[in-house]
Amino acid sequence: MMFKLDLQLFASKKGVGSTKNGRDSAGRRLGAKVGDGQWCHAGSIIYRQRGTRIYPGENTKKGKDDTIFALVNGKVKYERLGKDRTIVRVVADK
Amino acid sequence: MITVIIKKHENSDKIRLIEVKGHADSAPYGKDLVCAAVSAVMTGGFNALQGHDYRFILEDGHALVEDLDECSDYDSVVLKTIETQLQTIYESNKEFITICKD
Repeated sequence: MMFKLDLQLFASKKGVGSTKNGRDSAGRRLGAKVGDGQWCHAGSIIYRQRGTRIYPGENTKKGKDDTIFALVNGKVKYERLGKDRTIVRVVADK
Repeated sequence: MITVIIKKHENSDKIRLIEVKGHADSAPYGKDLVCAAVSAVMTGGFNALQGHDYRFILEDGHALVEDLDECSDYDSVVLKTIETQLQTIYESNKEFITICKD
């Protein structure tokens, strides 16, 4: 009669715990939807954001959820505003 | 903490019972080296014993061999080896294993 070796015979099983973490919400796909220099329709979304990472400029408007969208057809322009701000505007078609 | 109990006959140095109980808790399950050493010593030692009338227990956190009154000289050496190995483990892991002899 041979005993089979279990190398953890005198180990405590306490270590085998579970975690209360491990949950996360789905990504919100924020960020730029139209790049600098790209053409866009009036009403199309330019930038999705939480708070004002990007400020609305000429021919653009900020929605209730801080989304920035175009008011006219034209070309999108991202520019610096002051030391640490960014503004987006739409250069209307002629 | 693993507790080792070794009992000997009054009139001779022959071992009549070895019992090992408890958990080493020196590391999480799967990485506990002190437990692995004690497990190997007890399992190998029990397998080396040739006598058939002994009473064995080998389960989670508990190992015992007793009823060793008529054990052969060979088995006496095996039991002495188990005792020496446990003593050796104890010398360098005193916070995880303790040995009681009487």
